[in-house]
Amino acid sequence: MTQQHETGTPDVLERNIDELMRRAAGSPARPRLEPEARARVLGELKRRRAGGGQGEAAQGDAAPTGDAAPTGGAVIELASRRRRRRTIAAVAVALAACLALVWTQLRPGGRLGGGDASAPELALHHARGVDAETIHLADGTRVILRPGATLEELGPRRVRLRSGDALLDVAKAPGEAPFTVESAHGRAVVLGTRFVMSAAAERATAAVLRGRVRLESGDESLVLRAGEHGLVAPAGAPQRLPATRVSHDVEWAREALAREDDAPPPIRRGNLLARNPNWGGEWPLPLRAMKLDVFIEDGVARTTVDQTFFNPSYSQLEGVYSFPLPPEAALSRLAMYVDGTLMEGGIIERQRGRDVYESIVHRRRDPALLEWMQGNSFRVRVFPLPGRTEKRVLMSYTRRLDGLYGGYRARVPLPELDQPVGRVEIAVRVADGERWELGSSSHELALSRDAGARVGTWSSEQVTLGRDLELELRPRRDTAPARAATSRRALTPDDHAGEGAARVVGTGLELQHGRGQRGERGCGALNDTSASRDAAALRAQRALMLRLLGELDERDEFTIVAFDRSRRALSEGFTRVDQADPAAVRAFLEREGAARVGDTGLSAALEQALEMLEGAASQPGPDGAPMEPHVLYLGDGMLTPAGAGAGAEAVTAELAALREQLAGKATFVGVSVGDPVDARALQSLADASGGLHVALPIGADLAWSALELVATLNTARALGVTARLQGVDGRPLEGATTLLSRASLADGEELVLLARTPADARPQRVELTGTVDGAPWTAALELAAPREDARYLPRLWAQAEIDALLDPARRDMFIDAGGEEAPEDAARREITALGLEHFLVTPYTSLLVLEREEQYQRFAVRRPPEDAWARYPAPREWTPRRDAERWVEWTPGEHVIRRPAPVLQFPAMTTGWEYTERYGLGGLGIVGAGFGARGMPTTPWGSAWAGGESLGLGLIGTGRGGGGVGEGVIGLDAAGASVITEDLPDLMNAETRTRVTTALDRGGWREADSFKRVARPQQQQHAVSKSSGLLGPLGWGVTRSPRRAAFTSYAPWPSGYQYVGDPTLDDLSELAPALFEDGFDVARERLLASPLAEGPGGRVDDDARELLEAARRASIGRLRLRTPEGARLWLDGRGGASSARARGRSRARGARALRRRDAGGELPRARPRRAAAGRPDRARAARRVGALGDAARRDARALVRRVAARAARAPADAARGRGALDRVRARRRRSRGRAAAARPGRRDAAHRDRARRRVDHRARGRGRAALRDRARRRGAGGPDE
Amino acid sequence: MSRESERTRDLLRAAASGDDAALTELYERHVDGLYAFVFYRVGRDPSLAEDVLQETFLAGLERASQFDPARGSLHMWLCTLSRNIIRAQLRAARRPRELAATWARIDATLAQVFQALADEPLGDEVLAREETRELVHMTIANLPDMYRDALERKYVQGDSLREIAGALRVSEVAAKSLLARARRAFRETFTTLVDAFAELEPAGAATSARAVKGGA
Repeated sequence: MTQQHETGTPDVLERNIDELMRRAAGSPARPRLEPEARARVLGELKRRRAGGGQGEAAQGDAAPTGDAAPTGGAVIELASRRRRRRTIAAVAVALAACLALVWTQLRPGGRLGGGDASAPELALHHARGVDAETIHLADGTRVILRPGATLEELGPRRVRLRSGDALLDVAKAPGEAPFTVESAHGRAVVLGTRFVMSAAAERATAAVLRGRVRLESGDESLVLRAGEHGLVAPAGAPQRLPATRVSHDVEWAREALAREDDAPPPIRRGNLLARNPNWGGEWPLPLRAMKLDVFIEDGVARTTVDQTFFNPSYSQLEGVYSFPLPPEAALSRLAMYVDGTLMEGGIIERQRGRDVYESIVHRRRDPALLEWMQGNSFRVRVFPLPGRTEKRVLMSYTRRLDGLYGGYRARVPLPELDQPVGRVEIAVRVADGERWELGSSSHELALSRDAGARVGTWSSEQVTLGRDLELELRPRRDTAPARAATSRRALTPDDHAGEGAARVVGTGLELQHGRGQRGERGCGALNDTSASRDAAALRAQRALMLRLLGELDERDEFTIVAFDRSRRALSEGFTRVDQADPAAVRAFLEREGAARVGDTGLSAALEQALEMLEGAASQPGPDGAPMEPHVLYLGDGMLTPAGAGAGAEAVTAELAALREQLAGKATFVGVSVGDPVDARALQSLADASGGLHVALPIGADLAWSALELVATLNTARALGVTARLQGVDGRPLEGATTLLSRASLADGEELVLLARTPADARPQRVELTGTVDGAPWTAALELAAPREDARYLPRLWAQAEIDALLDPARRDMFIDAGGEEAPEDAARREITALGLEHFLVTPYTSLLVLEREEQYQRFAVRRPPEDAWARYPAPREWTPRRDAERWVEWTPGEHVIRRPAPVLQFPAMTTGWEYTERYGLGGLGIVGAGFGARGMPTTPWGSAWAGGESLGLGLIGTGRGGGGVGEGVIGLDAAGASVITEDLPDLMNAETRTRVTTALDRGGWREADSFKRVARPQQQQHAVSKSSGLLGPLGWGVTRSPRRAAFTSYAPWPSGYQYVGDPTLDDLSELAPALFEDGFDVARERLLASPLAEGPGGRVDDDARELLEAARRASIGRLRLRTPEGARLWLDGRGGASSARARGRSRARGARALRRRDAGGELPRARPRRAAAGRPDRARAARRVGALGDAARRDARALVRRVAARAARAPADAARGRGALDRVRARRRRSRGRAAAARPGRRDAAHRDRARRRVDHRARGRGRAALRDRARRRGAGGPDE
Repeated sequence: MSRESERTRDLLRAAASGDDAALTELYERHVDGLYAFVFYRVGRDPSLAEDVLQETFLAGLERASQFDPARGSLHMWLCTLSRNIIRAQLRAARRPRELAATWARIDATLAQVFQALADEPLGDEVLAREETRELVHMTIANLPDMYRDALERKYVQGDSLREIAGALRVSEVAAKSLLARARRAFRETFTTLVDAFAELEPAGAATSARAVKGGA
C-alpha cells in the first residue's frame, strides 16, 4: 500500500537531491567555523582538559541519556544555572523531547537512520504522564495521546491504538496514500484529516474534526465526515453515533494543541486613567488594593471589582474610570467613596440625567454620568482625585454564563497594569455548592465550603495583573444533572404567578443532521478593519483567520473581504482551502487587515460576500451537493449606521436591515475578538440566519478557539427554536410569556428559557420545536421541580425583555401593537420603566453618580436596593489613606510603561538640552552657563583655543540603564572651528563618540547637525546639535551655542535609519514616497498578496513565482522613519504604519500631523526603503501598471522582475540600512575574540557580557574623569568598571 | 564492532587521558560536522555555537568511558551531548523563552513540496529559495556519519562512485546502495526537520536571517 511512498522513484529522488546539493554547496548559508575560531576552541579544549581532571562525579542530571556522570566546571556550572532557571525547565523539557525524537529517528538502526526502511521496527508509545503526549510520526502526522493511551507504530502510515484516546492530525501523503489506525475491533482509514479515536475493551469510537475517515470492520465500512461520530464494535457493521460536539471530546488535548506563537500580547485596559490638563496624555493610576468577588447561582454570575487607586502626584487630578465588561454583561452597581462616604450610582431617565449632569457641571461640581453605548466597555469621569490620596471605586455586573454539557466556563476580565498591585484578593462563591465542582485554570484557588456554598479564594501581595480569572464549574459526578433544571421566583408570596427559568441542556435531544450528504461550505470571511478595532484586536483577528483556514475542511471554499469604509477582496472568486497559498493569505491579511480608518460598512461588505457566494453556489460541489453559504464575520459588531441618524434607533434599524439582507441567503457566523463588542447585534444576526456568535477575549487561545468554532459549526444544530410550556394536562399553558436565550440549539449547549406565568399556571413540560437541516425537529422535556426564590430572575427577565423590545421583530410580544401609541414610543416607555426598576443602563436610562446624598434626593435618582440579589458588602464609611508629602521622583506619565510594541525599539530615551553663551575677547575668557546641570567650562588663557568642559545633559529620561552623563569638549579657534563632542549617555553600557567638523563662518551663523552611532551592540544614538556662533574679525565676539540633543536608543536591527543630516535625504523623494502610497506601491503590494496557487486568474508560471518569492523576501522588515513634522513612524514590513511616536516638542506637531492625515481619510501607507529598490522606475511603472488584472500581469511581472533584479544587483543599496548592524556585529566578534584571548577559560556568560561591553580604552580614560567627578558629587565611590 | 569504530573509541580515550595528538585528530575529524549540527540549533549565533562546541568536546572527553561504538557513531554521540549544552546555553544567553516557531518562513507549501521529493522533480521556485539551501545544510548536519560522508563526497567534493567506494572501503555496489539509502535518509530527515526544527529557532535570528536574505 505504501511501497511507493516508502521507496519513491529512485531517479526522481536522485535528481532532486542532486539539484538540492548542487545549489546548496555554493551557498553562503553553509555554516563554517572560521579558522581562527577553530584554533581557539582547540586550544581552549586542551587547556581545560588539562585543568579539568578525569574524575567522575555524580552530577548525572546533565547527561543526555540519564546514566552518564559528568564532571568538570562547565557541566556543574550548567547544572547550577539550571537550578536557577527552573521556570523554563518545562520549555526545555519539551525541546529535549523534540530533539530526542530527532535522535530516535536518526540514530543508526533507527527508523530513518541505517536500518532497512522497508522493514520498519515496531515502536510503542505509551502516555504515562499527567499531560497529553505528542508524537510526530515520520510522515509528518502528529498524534496526541491522552494520558494512559497506548499506541503502536506498525509501519509507515499504519498504527494501532491499543487503548485509550488519541487525536491524530494526519499529514497528507503523496499519491493520496491512506493512513490506517487499527484497533481491536476494526480500523479507520483516513486521508489528510484530523480525528480523534478512542479504543476500549468492548468497542472503538472515532470522531472527525476535519476531512473524512472510513471505518472498516470486516467487510462493512462507513464514511464519517467532519463533525460525525462512529462506532466499531466486535459484532456488526460500523455505526454512526449521535453527534456530540467533537471539540468537547478532545478537550483533554487542548494544551497540547495550543501553540505559543498564537498568544497575542495583552492589551492595556486602563482602570482609573488620570490626567492633568497641563501635562497631556492619560495614564493608569497605580492600584493599592483590589478585591474581586464573584457570586454564581444557577449559571448567573455577579462580579464585583473593588479597587483602591492611589494618586501618587501632588496635584489634584481628574480621572476616567473605565472597565471592559464581558459581552452580554449588565452593569448592576457603580459606587465610589467621596470624602470617605460610599456614594452609589443611581439610574435616571436618559434625558433627565443629561439635564442634571449639565446643571451640576455648570456649577463646577463634577458628577459622573454613564450613558448607554454600543459595546461592552464604559468610561465614567471621576473628579477630583486629590494628590497623594487613595480613591476607592467599586463596580458590579451580572451576566448569564454560557453552559456546555452541563458545566460552565467563565472568564472574568481583570484590569492590566504594569505596576504590581499592593494586594489582590479573589473570592468566588457558588450557591448550591453541593452540586458543583469549582476550579480555575488561571489561579490556584483555595477551596472550602461555607453554608452550603462552595467557596474559592486566592490572595497575594505585589501582584502584577495581566491574566484574567478563568473559572470552571462542573456538575459533580454523583449528582445526576437534570436535563431541564428550573428555578422560579414568585411575584408575591403565596402566589404561583412569577418568573421562572428553565435551563435546557441539549444532550440526547437527537439533534442529528437531517440528510446524510452535507454540501461543502462556502465561506465568505469578512474581516472588519474599521477604526473601532485596535491593533491588538486586529492582530488577533488575523491570527484567528489563519487558524480558521487551517481548521476548515479541505474541500470547503473561502474568500476574504477586508472591509471598513472600503472593501478589499482576497480574490475574485472562491478558493478551495487545500489550494490556498498561505503566504498570500497572510500577506493579504497583513496589508489589508492592518489598522484603518473609517466606519464599519458591514452592509456593503455583506452584500459583496453574498454576491460572491451566490455566484459560487450556482456551481455544484464535487459531491454534487450544493455549497452551503456561510458568512464568517470577524470584528466587534459595532455597527455604524449609514445616513444621518445616530443612537440606538439607528443601530436597531441598521440591524433590522442586515437581518433582512442575510435571511435565507447565508449562515452568519460572528466571531468577536477583544473589546468593546456589540454582542447583542452579532447574536441577533446569527439568530436571523441560523448561525452563531462567539466572543473571544484578546488573550484567548486562538488555535483552540478556531478548532472549537469549526467543531461547533460541524455539529448538528436546531434552528429557529421556539419553546412552548405545557401544563399538567399536557395542554399549552395559557397566558405564559416565554423568552429564549437564543434561537438555536446544538448538542451540549444550554438554552435558557425565561417565562412569566400567570397565577394558576404550573408548567410541567416544555416543548421545543425548530428545524434541523430543514427538517422539522421537536423535543419535549419534563421540567424538574423548580428551585424557589431565585432572586436573580427579575433582573434577568427585565434584561431579556429589553432585548426583545429593542428588536422590532419581537417587541410585539410586550406592547400593544394596535394601541394609540406608536410601537417605538411604547417600546421606549417600557424599556425606560424596566431600566429604572431593575437598575439597567439602556438606551433610555443612564447611570449617574453624584457627590452628595442630598443631590440624589433632590434629583430623585433611583439607586439599587439594599437587598438586591447577591449584593456585595461594602462599608458605608472608609478612610482613604493620605501619604505624607515627601518628595519622590515622579513625573507625569511615569506609570504609562506600556509594553513595547513589537517594533524595534527599547523604551530608553535620553533627551537633553544645553545652552552656552560665551563672551570673550581675543580668545580670552569664556563663560559657560547652561540649562540642566551643565558645569563650568574651563578655559586656557592666552591661547587661540577656547575649550569648554561640561557635565550633564539635563533631563534624563526613563529607560534602561537610567541616568547618564554627558561630557562635552568644545574647541574653537579663531581660524576655523572643529567641534568635538563626546558624550557618555549611559555609564554602564555605552561608549559614544561623535565627531562634528564644520567650517566656522566668521561673523555668521553656523548650524551643524551631527549624527552618531554607538559602539554598543543593538543601540543607536541620534543627536542633533545646533550651534550658532558669532565671532568678530578681531577675534572677539559672542558665541551662542544652544545645543539640543535627543538620544533614542532602540533595538537590534537598524534596517533603515534616517536623520536630519543624512545625505540621502538630499533627495526628498527618498522620504516622501516612503510615506505616501502611490500606484506603484499598490500594484506591488497586490502582487505580493496575489496567490501563487492556481486560481481563477490562471496559473502563475515558475519564473513569475520565483520573482514573487524574491520580492516577498525583499519586502520583509521593519523601519523607523522620521517625518518632516517631527513624528516618528514605525513601519512594518508590509508598509503599514504600525505606530507613530513623537518626542519633546515635536510630539504635538507629530500628533497633529497624524491627526491631519487621519482626518484626510487615508492613513498614509509608508513603504520601507529597502523595498523601494526599483524606485527610479516607479513613476513609469505606475503609469504602466494601473490596475492589476490578467491583462496587466505580464507588465506587473516585468516590474517585479526589475525590483528583484535591482535588489540582487545592488546589495549595498538594499543593505544600506543594515550597515550599522554588520559593523556592530563585526566589532562584537572582535571584542569577543580579544576577551577570549585575554581571559582564556572564563568564557561564562558574565564574562561574555562584560567582553561585549568592553569599551575603547582611550574613550574610557576620558570618560573616567567625568565619572570620578560625578561620583565625587554624589558622594559615592569610584566608578564601577 | 568494526575496526574503524574501535579506533574511534581508542582515539577518544587517548584524547581524554591527555594525548594532544589524539585530541587534535579527534577534533579535526568531528568539529565541522558538529559545528554544522549546533549552528542552526543555537539560532545561527556563531559565538554561541563556538561555546557549545567547546563544552560538547569537553563533555565528550569527560565521559569518554561511556561512549559505546555499538550504540552509534561518535558524531551522533557528540550531537546528543551537545543538545543538553545547547539547551543550557540558550537559557544562559537569555534567548527568548518562546522560541518562536518559524512556520512562517518554512511555510506549508514548502513542506508539501518536500513530501514529494521522491515523486516529482522539484520546481525552480523551491530550489532557488534560501530556506531550501539552509534546510539542505541542516539535513546533512543531522544525518548519520556514513550517509553524511557519502553524500558530501558525491555532491560537494564531486567524487565518483569508485572514489567513494575506495574511500569508504566498500565495493562499488555497496557504495551505490549506500548512496541510495543515504538519499532516502536525506529525504526523511529533510521532512522531519521541517517539522522538528520549527521549534528551535529564536524569533530574532529568524528576522535577521530574513533581513540578510532580503538584500542578497
